Amino acid sequence: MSEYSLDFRDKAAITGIGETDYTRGALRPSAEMILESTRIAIADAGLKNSDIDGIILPPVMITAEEIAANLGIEDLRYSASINMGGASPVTALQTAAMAIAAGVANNIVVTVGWNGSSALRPKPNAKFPEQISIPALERTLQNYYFPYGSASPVQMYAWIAMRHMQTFGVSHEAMGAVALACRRHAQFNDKATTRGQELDMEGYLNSRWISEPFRLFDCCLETDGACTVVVSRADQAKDLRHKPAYIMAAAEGHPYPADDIANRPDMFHIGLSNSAPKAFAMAGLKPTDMDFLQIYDCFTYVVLLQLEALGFCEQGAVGEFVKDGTLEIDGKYPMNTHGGLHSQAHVWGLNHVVEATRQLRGDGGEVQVKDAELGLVTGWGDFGDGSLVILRN
Amino acid sequence: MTDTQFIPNPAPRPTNYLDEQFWEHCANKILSFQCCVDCETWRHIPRFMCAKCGSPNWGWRESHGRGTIYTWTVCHMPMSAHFEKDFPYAVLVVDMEEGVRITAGLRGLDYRELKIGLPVEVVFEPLEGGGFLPFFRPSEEV
Repeated sequence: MSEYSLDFRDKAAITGIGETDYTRGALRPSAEMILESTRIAIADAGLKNSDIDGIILPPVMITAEEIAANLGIEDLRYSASINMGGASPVTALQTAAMAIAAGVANNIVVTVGWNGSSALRPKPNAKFPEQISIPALERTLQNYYFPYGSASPVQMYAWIAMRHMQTFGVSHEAMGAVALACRRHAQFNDKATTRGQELDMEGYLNSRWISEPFRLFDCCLETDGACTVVVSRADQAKDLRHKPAYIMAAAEGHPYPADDIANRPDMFHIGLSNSAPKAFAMAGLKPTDMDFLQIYDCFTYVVLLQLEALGFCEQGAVGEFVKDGTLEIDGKYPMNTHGGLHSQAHVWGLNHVVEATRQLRGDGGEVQVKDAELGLVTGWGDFGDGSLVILRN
Repeated sequence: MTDTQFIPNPAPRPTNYLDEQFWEHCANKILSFQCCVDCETWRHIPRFMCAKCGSPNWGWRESHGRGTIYTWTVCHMPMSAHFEKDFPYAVLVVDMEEGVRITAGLRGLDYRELKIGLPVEVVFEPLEGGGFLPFFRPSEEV
């Protein structure tokens, strides 16, 4: 690996967080929800709308220009769209930290929001139905995957999971360990869709098949909602309302080739396999230094693949690593302490960043990780793009 | 069965002439892949350049149509009414002898008998509305 400049290490911090309610059937535009969570995040930081001079978001649902117009930002100095599906929000933190370190902007809004439940099943009388598209991958999908009835991430990620499972003999109980940790933590989260719906291993194993090796309870929720964080200059962050969550390191990574899962020389070499060593090197830390993990959990097995790519265990050994409650609040590496996409809500993993910030502020409530000082957040998107941010308080 | 209609029609939707030519060959029941004129590296999905040597020169070459199972999934939630007749159905990734991999459906085998390395061969099935789609069945040759 070539040398990396450390120019943006500790130069930026998360200073504000905001979330809408997470529902199924929001019946209002994504844009409106994005603006609501953005208002909350800016107020949480103790900033004014006019303090915001940068906006980063995925290329769907609302534009940076529209957000700026709503907020009354007359001089938007920096805007960018990240096109990495669910890995976009964590990648956006890297982009924000780079822009701030370079002096391009002082306070950047990173936001995402969608009707992830309602857009898939619009009401017959819906006046303005919203659509969900995956612009980066349409060509591959429409020509080579759709004709065989493979149209959803649950089917495509299953190719990777099935080969990994068959090759290394990872058990369904290992997948269940991820589901159970998320569900347990969600029971303590006010915004969690599955609060009050506990899950045990028997219930997990008895859930119906969706696309083998994935059962219903391997899959995340479908959510209507929005989420925003504000990233500010580190030297100004300490004077704001809350204890800052400093961005020690961040990196994005792409598998190869990124636009087709089938033809990868090594199907287990995911985006995070490239980004994790860079981010740990930048932070000067190793995986075992982390007090908590917020891992993108669209499907349970995707978490297992990422734990291996992060370096928590040897390839194929993840089943051993996750057993006996490793990922639970009283385990060695508490994961997705808000419930994750699996049991809190699917807001493209920006809700994982919000939760990491809460933990570092000491606002984790009943699932506060004791003495939490260091934590990581991963993103996973499209055909296995992967990003990583390492945060400290 | 499902309240979503992700794939109302399974016909491929070419977005450029490379995709169009791949599917035209299939319509003639020929499975062909691109091959680099300069370094002889096969490739799929179709691309404008050779990722190995950078050459923009390529041609189509007919595949032997043989490979082995690399991985698969079994879909228990069909993506539209079209796929309900084969439900549940497997979607394969096949490792072709030529060194490329292709996604395709399974024929002639119960999905419970799938395993990595199983030899398979191509078989074409007519597509509603014209054309043919490649599927794979267990190899007859030993």
